[in-house]
Amino acid sequence: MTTDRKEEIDAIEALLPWYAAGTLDPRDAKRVEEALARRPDLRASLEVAREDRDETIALNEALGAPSPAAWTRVLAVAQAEPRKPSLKARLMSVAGLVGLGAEPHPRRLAWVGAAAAIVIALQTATIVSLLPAAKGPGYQTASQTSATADGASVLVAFAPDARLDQVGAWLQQHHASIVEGPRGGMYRVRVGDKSLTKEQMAALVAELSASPLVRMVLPAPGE
Amino acid sequence: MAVESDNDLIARIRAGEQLALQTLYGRHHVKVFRFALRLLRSESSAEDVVSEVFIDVWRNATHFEGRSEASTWLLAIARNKALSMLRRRKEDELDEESAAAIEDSADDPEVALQKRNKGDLLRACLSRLSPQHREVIDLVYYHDKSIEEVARIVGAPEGTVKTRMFHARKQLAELAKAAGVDRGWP
Repeated sequence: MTTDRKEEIDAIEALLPWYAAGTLDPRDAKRVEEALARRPDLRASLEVAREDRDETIALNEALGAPSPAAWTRVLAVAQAEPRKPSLKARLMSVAGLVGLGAEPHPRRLAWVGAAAAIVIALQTATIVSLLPAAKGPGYQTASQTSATADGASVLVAFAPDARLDQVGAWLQQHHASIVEGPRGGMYRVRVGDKSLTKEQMAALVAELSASPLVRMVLPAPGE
Repeated sequence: MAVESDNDLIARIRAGEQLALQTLYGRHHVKVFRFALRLLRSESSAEDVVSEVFIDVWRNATHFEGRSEASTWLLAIARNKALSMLRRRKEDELDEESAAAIEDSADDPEVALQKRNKGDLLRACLSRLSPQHREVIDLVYYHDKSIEEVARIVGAPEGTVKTRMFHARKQLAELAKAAGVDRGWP
């Protein structure tokens, strides 16, 4: 019963608070249990630790909580400083959606990035394939198209989750067509067949911006 | 329905979701407040710490690497904020009256003894521990932190944490003994 070396007893004694709290790793918990079976003096010490634990919990539980003002201050900052998600954060968000968890391994994250790049490339290729063919064969530069075509031109950044069929319907609804892009993530879109005044353009931008399919709409340069 | 983990919430905060911040706040603000209050002994200062901790989470969610529990990260931030406040408070040189008010925030062991209640007495002794000992006792017994997590929060090696906890228990036993309760340990 008393064959344990002093260092070993001290080591077990030091672990008792975590054993009492239930936060010891299984290996150390086993060490403590074996020592407790051999030494009644350690069992007395464990009882003291349990008493300390119970009173510490009671003391803290009686302390109350912060007033709602604490959250109001946090919210004010969050609203004044909206976060711009980093590329990593966006990829991690996608990783979460495809079931890789919130903290995937960096290599898996790289695969998500590569997959996202392929999806964007495919989406771009498909949207370009929707460009109106009536303007003649072959690709025309933006300057040629917009300079010769009637209608108002705007630059549109679509929402990342906008589906192609939704974008097609949205273009049709506004009598619009994509004439160029993407450049810097934005497509040049021609709307209607008439030139617009500055006020009409502002109203058009506001109308187009209201759709959840678009992230941003700007008058095209020269409009 | 599965409950969203703290790590998932932090991933959403990184993406700019205020609702995720509110959920994380709802889960942890009371414990962060109590931890800060035990260090600072001032409700208004502890409340300021709570706000500052979650503002930091909003601004610096990308710094959380998920190697420890989110609550460990929050308590570590709270500790740094509280220590900065204590340093500022020292610089401001509290007058004796307000210092006394802080010291007298709990019954002393003699008063508790008059109440003849062992629980009251032990809680009074817990309030009389040194800040360093109070902190480690709270982290282990109330915040359920493992040796490794306490070491992360206080920024000390695990061996130091175990030694500090041993001395905290010893100080508590001595305070209790001086107030008339000998529990036979150490």
